[in-house]
Amino acid sequence: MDSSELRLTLKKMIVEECDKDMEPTDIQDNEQLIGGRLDLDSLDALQISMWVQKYYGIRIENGPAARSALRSVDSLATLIHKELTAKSAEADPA
Amino acid sequence: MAPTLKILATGSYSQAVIEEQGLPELKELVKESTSANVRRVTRFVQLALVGAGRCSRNRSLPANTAVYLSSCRGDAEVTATLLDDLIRRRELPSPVTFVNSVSNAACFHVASALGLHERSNFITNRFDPLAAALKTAWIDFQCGEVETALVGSVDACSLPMRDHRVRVEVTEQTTVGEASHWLLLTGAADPRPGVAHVTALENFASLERLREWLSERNFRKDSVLAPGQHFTVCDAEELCAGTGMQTFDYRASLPHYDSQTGAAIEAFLEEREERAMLHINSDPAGRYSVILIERS
Amino acid sequence: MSSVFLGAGLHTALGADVDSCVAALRGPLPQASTVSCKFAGAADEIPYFLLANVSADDPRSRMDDILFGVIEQALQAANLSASQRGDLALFLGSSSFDIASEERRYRQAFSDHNTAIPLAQAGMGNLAEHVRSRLGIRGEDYTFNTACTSSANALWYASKLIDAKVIEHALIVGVEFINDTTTYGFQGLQLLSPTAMRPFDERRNGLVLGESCSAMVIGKSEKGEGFRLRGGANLCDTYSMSTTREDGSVVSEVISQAMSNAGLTPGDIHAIKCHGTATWSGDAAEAEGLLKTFEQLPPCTTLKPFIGHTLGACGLAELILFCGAIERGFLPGTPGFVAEEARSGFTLNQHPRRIEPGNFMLNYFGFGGNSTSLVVSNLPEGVA
Repeated sequence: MDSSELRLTLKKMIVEECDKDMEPTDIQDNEQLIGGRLDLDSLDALQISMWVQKYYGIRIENGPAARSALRSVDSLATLIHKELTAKSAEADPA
Repeated sequence: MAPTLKILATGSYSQAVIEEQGLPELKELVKESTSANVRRVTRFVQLALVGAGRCSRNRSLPANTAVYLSSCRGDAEVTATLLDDLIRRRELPSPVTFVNSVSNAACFHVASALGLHERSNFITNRFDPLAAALKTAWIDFQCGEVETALVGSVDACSLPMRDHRVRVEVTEQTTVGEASHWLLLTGAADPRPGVAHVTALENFASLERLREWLSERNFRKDSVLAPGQHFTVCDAEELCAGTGMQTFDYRASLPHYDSQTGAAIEAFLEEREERAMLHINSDPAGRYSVILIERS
Repeated sequence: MSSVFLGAGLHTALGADVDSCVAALRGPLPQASTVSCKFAGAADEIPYFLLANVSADDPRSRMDDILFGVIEQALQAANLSASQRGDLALFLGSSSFDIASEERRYRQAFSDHNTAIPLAQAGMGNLAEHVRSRLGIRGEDYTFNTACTSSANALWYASKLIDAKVIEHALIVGVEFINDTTTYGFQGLQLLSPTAMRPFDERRNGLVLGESCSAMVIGKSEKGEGFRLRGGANLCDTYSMSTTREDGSVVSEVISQAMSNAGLTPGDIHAIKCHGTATWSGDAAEAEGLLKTFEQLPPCTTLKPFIGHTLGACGLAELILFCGAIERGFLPGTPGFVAEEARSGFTLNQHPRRIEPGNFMLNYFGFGGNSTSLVVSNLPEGVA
């Protein structure tokens, strides 16, 4: 999945999981997710973390790790990309 | 002890559900009746918001308005979803679903949408949920702890209707519905005009004790007796015999749902001319609960 | 003359009656049992404070054995006559009721047919009705379902209805039995500690769930001796469905209201039982609220490290434990948790300490913002 496709998937997921009344494309790549204009809270953060766990098998621990990973769509996409790359390297060592 | 609570307003939603048409969309109704942007809520919470919002009639309620919610079956849909997550889908329930499974989630959303900052409570009883909530609210007024209160009952449907019918214990022939009935209450000393007063909230352990209470009060033809869900029209007529009171069968036109006491109060105020309504409910053990509504 | 606590029954991880549970509060912190909790991403095993000395396996008969045993303890301790028993009003508080039985039924039904119906019985008042009919109680009954404040609210309303002479005696019941819905729900919220529960401590990493079943009879007493509920308050915190307002303002408001409802000021409170869920933000908000309200904080203690978080049942179970300890002359302590006074000035009582009769505060905070503070007293009536 290329990075813009991943970002769009994440935005759609955020709108769906957090029940936001807005278009996914209205979310900016680098805009603050929790407590910003989107007004997402800790329950939204948990909801997003669980989705990431379910679809990518990546566990985001509650606390500082979650705060940093869920800063923006960009940071979340970067984390997922990094973890998936690491996983595929593990599965298929060069 | 004679309670006196003033009913400032009532607000309701009730709708028969036809399975082929699906459940009516409530999102717009929530917006209309509360002017709040609400998200991450269940159908049960939406129904609470529509009823409470209509009761507040879009006027701003004092922040110290307390919320008392009751329901016979609660938010069965959200609990069924949790069970399906665990047993059918074998996955962890979503955080929002789990948090919404506490009954007072609906109180939270009502208080939040209407800008309230007071106590809230979810109280119920197997046979007359609203009567239990009213008594709880009344004791808070009696103790001087609460000045204004929203008291309501909510019944939600969920699909598939087959499952819902099993939960509410009715056959396929019964028309089922969902409802949200609310009262905005204040103390008797409040100068604002009210539509009626709640002047008795009584529980009796037997028919004999109920009869004693009735005989001390001398209800006449200026009052109606509304039989509650677990009290038959026939028994009601027998109680009325010789008093001149008529029975008021408010339930005849309602679809089936479990907490219809609020519908009685609203129907009496809208459809009848009499001065007072005596709502009497009972349970299979032969206990009775009585709510007396007198027009202002 | 206000209503007094006439008799109590209790079953927790510490023991199967009030005496053994309270005696265990003098000892070291108990080790929780371990239960399996297996789902993608979740830990394999988690600590859980299961009820002591229980054998039955089927959730229904297990619940009935414990529930009616505990109620009988309370009824006997209260020494009610047969007619007083029949006239009791019932106040039941729980967050999970008998969901474990429904899980068992649905799991079986689903393995037989995939068209099985989840939650085939859905009456919120069913458990109270079960208790009422089994015991032949003919008074009114109320079921409270306000998350972790459920049984605290049940006790508060029972007490008010007695003081207003609406009812004579009340039986208050709190139940929380192990069930998957709750366990996995909390796991999904990432609120469970994989190790142990350390309320307010810098090292805290979540809560440990527990089971409890409690019952209490209250009513007027000619002698007017013993503990009574002196006041209370409840507020719906609309800040968040799942966490207390972080600045502690709602905590401060509800505990201030409870004291004023009891006709007391902060200086009159001899000790506090905190809610203390060992969650990061919940404890921070609670400590902040206490510090905001008390210029001189009285000794504070938490009971969840002994019995786990028993959710809707914790209101009554912790109150019975707490009052039982005070009656026996001691305030329980949790050695090692916030031993050093934190920068904030908040600390917990470390070891059982001698305590005289007085006024005591018990705090409870639940999902959906439901916040309850109760003030109990075992001073003679008329004494501040």
